[in-house]
Amino acid sequence: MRLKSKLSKWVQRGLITDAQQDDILSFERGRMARHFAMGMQLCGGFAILLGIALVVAANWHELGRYAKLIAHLVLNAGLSFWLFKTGYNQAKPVLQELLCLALFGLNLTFIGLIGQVFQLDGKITEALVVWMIISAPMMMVYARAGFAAWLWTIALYVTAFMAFDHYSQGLDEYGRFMLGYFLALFLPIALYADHCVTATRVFRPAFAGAFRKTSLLVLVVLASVSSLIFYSDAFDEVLDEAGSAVLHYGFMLIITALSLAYVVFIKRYFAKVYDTGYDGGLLLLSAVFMALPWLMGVESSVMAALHFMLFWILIGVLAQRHAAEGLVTLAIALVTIRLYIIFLELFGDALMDTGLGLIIAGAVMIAFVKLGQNFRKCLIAEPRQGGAS
Amino acid sequence: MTKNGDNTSYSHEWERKVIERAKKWGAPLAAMALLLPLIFFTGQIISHSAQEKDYQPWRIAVEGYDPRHLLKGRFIRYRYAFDWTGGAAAQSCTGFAQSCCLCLTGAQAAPQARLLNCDTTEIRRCDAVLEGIKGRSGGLVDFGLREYYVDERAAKVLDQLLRSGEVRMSVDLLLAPKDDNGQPQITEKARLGVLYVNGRALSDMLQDGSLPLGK
Repeated sequence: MRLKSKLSKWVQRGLITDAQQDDILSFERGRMARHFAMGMQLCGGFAILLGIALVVAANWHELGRYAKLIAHLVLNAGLSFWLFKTGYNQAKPVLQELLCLALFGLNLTFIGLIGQVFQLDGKITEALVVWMIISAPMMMVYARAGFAAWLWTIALYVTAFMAFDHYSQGLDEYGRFMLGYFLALFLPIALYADHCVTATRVFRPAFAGAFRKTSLLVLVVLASVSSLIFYSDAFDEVLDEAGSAVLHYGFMLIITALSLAYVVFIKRYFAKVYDTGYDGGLLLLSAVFMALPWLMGVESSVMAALHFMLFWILIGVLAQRHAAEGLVTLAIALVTIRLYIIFLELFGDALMDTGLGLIIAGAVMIAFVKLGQNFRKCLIAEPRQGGAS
Repeated sequence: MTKNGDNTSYSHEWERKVIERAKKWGAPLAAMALLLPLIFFTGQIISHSAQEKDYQPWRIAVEGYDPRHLLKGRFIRYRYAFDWTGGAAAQSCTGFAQSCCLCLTGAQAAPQARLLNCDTTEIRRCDAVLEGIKGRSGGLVDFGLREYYVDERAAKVLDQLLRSGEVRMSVDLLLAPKDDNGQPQITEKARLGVLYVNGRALSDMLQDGSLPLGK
């Protein structure tokens, strides 16, 4: 619905006055005019950049190696100086973000150019690691917007994953498993801890938000996906590679205990300035449910279903306690879908052979959805007090 | 909980101190954040250029693992066809996953190669030495540097020439020269120099038009 017709309806209902309607419309017109002007300027800037890129690309092989390197260095230095001047007085936030992201990208292209000119035969992982290290201070100082923070955080996760894969090649299979498990658990928790630090939370709220959300997301997804391990003989393989059950159980118990202790430490350390009750619960649940398949050593579809559903029921309970309605809805939806998958796993082969089977499957699906909806209504009818951001 | 002038709450005193110090040194720190990449890139350019000047070129013949797939994207991928002293079968480097060294002797344009353990005294008789890593299962020794970036427009033509099998290729491996005492220095990371096609530098062929370029 367009804003004008929306506002008219609100005026008719007496929610706002005519004067307020006029004020809102006048404000929105002014804002749109500024957006249009800004959009046109961005288009112009983009056209200039594209033109420069095309001129450079057309003459790429005619340019000497040092001409390329020095031109890139001058471009980076010029943009850095511009960013320094713009960023320090915070007068033009959009320009500051654009310059910051441009430099972030140009740092990577410069690494690629040096590798190309000097025939370094470098690996993409090494380039990414160097890129993240040299660009991190710049991003932390100058980037403020949410998309820049998310871009950097995702780049960090991707680089961490690729670095693990590359640098752990020399380890044996169990060594790789141990290191991978450790990183998958502790990197998100460490980023979550960083989000709690005042320097990040108060002065770089966009980064703090990206750190918190990605940490919780990564761990909850990993714990959910862990249920798939019950379907395979991955546990037996890992135990074989470990060579000793004592070593494996010892490692898993120590690493899980350390992760739980780390989360409890974060909760206590930042208790005075940040309520980590809800997030801490999610982190603790995720750490425990990530470990369970690697401790139980059972190959069973029933256990897979129980693991997944119990995890999400507990998340639902936690969300309900902290009045996080969205997560309650998600938990109910996922548990309902998982129940339906159990039904298909048990009877799917026989049901799908006949029309009657399809009718039964469809009816069961509708029943499950209705059940889930009713359950959600019951829960949301009496929300507890509390709060989750 | 501690607070500062602008009413920001800190969980601990050290946080407040760090923030206040960072604010005090704001401008230099902000400048350093931008200077760090520039210093790094300048250093890289200078160090790579200096290494190129210092190192000596040793021309090694190269061949494809599979002639049909020698060129991948803009990179020529190859393996070295060393002229082994006593034949390839005579080369060995004992031990499990141990560092092995490539020992080059003779003329730089057509060197003879041997595989030696890096810690043997025989290394002293080499003219140039490159360190590699022996495969875990006792397979090939890996010296890295197995791909060469080529001009995008030349890639297609080179691909056709390579497939025809009439092209001999070699590449300059840039290795550390002997030290002041006349002892060879072990090069841990070699560099690639010029790529030769039928004995001529690829860059020269591109410049004088003897290698017809695609579009």
